[in-house]
Amino acid sequence: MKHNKCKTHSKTKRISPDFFYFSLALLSLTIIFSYAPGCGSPFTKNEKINASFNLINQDSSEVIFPDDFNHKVIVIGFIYTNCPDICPLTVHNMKLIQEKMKKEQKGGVEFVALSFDPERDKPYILKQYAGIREINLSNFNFLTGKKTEIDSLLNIMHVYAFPDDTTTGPGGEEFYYMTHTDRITLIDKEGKIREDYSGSHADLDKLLNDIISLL
Amino acid sequence: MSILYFLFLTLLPTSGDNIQIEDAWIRPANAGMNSALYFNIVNESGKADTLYKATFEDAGMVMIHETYKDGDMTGMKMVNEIVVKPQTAFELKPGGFHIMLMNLKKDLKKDDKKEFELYFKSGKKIKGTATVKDKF
Repeated sequence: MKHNKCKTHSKTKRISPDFFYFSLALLSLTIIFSYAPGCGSPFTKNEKINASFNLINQDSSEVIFPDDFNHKVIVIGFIYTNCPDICPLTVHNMKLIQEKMKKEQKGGVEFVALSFDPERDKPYILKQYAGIREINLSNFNFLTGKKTEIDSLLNIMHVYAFPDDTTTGPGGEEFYYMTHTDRITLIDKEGKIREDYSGSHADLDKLLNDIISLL
Repeated sequence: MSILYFLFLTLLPTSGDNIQIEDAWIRPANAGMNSALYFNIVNESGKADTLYKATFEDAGMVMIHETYKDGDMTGMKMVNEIVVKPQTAFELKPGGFHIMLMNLKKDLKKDDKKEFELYFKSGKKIKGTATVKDKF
């Protein structure tokens, strides 16, 4: 009786160590990059605002930014009230988003229009500016304050503004206009800058979707 | 004599037969602040014409301005004139050319109607009425 000398081979395939470690590394990288800005996330930024700024709103009430809006998504635009063309577009875009969110009954968002011209943009000027544009101030603040405080905040937000073109009026008075960054910035509930948009030509659908994704 | 009379008539400013101003509007703004006047200039004639001056009933000063962009930055500059080519339209619109209305004497409120005048190098002087609105 012949013995079957054929070896019986196990049907279980063994994974080679090299393949195992390669897969583990690939999986780790996928997890890491999926949480990094720009990779899997719709946002290109993830910068914590590590400072607080003492500002004043249109009602002359003190506002500590961004602390007073903690646990809320912040949509911040940068303006000066003597701007006749671009800044009204920025404010209008923010107003449109505010109205859409109200219509969809979505709360938890604060709108902030920060003036980079605090010498002229006093609280009562901001109040009038908001009033004639029929802005709903229930969750919309127009902020001004000391120039040093505002300049520090602008620096963190990478927004630039400086007096440029100057005109002399018939009475000898001087009017200056500012060259500035055209920007709306989105800040999440943890006080992190997540995205920048054009202020005057923001993609409102994208901005709205981005806000909702952070709620 | 009739030739002289005819020549005299041609020297008078016209009401702008061949230049039409359409869709004039202004942004709301407070007294003491600035706003912008926008409109469409339609040159139906066979010659170019040049807008060089504008007046507005409730502004301390009026200038022709252009908004410009340089990357993320935006600014404005005064321009002396706007040339409108024959058989074309030129639009003054947000983000581009506009009539800068400075140091307003009164609030410009939504739905207000305001008078303005445009001066062209051809001698044409065109009056118009702009509506205050939130048009973007």
